[in-house]
Amino acid sequence: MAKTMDVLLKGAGTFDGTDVAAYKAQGGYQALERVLGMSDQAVLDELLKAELRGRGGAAYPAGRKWSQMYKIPITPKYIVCNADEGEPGTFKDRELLRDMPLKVIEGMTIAGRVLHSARGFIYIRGEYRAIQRVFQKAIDNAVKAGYLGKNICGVEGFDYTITIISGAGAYVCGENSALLNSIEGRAGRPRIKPPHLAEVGLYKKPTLVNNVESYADLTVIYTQGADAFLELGVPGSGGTKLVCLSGNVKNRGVYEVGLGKVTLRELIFDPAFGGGIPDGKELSFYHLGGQSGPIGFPEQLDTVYDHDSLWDAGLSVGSGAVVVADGDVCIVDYCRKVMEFFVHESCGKCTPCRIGTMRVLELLTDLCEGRGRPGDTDRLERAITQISALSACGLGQSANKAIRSCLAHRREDFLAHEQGKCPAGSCAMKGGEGA
Amino acid sequence: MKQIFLEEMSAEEKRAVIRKHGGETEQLLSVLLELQSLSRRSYIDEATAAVVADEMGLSLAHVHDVITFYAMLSAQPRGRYVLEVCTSASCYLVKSQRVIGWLEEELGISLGETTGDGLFTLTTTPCVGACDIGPVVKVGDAVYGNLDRDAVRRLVAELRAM
Repeated sequence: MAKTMDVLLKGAGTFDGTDVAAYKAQGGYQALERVLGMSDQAVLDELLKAELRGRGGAAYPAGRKWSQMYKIPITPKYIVCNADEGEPGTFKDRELLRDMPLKVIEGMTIAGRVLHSARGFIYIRGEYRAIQRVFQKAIDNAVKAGYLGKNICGVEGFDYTITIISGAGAYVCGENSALLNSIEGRAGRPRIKPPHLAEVGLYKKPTLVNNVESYADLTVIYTQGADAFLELGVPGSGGTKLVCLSGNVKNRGVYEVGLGKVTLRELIFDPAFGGGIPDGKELSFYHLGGQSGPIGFPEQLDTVYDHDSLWDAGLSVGSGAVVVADGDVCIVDYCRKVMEFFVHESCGKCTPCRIGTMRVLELLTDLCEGRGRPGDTDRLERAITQISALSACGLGQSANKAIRSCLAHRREDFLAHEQGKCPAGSCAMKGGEGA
Repeated sequence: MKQIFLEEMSAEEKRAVIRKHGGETEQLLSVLLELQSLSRRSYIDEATAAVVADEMGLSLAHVHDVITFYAMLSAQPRGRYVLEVCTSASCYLVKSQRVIGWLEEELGISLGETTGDGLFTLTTTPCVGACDIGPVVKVGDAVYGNLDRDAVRRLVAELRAM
């Protein structure tokens, strides 16, 4: 039975999320209070047990990340919240930042407490200028109420501040090392890793970087306990997930679901979620987790929405984006749009990504404009394999995923374009079969 | 209250804007975004970049590198209002291309151009995180969604009247 959950976004929009008293009336700051009574090790153990996987896209187990960071003896340490939310089709952090800023602040404060950091940063994308102002108000209110600043909650020596940093329109800054360079006031080009950020991060000091939703999840874990959190999801994927439905789907918006509790079919077609495809059209495909994620097809709709189930089906949760396309959309043309995005967003630092994405875009443009040649599909496959294997950062490494899933499931569409035919009938072919 | 544009500000007035942000290099992007928002032509001219560099203890090359790296910042003059149509996946699927056509008609320019009166530049942007109300156009900090032909006409008329 498909149903939306009401955990992270419980009460969202019904109270002033920047008001500390209102937030506490909703159960706010209970998690921090509980953490203050626990040993560091107990906090870390509980996080491991909760099986929280990073909500930004990489799905790395948060407990493991924290434990690694905890062991590093270098000081000072920094806590960073990645609120760059640049993956197209993703707008769920926006809801938390705007309606639940204190929940994010509480989560970051817990991280500061346990990892012995006195300074947190939240990097909010430049496109969310209005939300930056809301978040600043929440920070100021938390300071006034003694939940940020010196001797937090009256605990001697528990000092912690949060600074907002604005992005200015660079998708690559969602990559954590690029994000840290950007906080340092430089161009957001990624760093070569290793060293890992847990050792050499912001200002060359150990740095924890997690997504907005991951920090918000901490308030659930430490209020309700790891067992309850795990119960919201499935073993391997604890908790709920904010899913963003957009594109050719009736009910676009953000939905909270228990991981492992719904299928892709329910997400797209159930009236409680997407409600199906508008204008009586058929589903063609859906793009999961942003532009850097894989594409799924109708035959995969019964896959359960959690990290492991999707992974087994060649899909992934990623950022939580579900971008739905109807039958009028040509898959090859859509891949061209995806690659146009990566060409625009490649920072240009490494050659495979800078040149490779451009070559792939040229190939796809030829296919969509009736200039396809026999063998282009194989050339495309070779090119994306090389870009993903040779690129320096996650941007280039994952730029191939959408095309790869299309080649695996709809190769015939690409082969048809080699012959100047568009099966969806949407490409304007010169001398081919257009609409 | 009369708006004072960046173009009419003295170096000292620009320094006052920069100092509001605390002077840390960390706030460079916020500083540049605010200065640009004050520009009549939505850009950071070189003289302003030099003031930023001097005030924040950076080289002009550093500031220029940052301005040219980030898509929201411009070193070239643009229209007072930069109309950015989102062309990323979600908006593309709900036909953002049509919005570009409507705006071209309404403004009498092609994509990438600026109107003769310097009021509007028409351009595209990757995802602005408003996919639930696509197709969208971003103008400064504001995002206008669920655009149809009429909404586009009204938006341009509103901006012209401002």
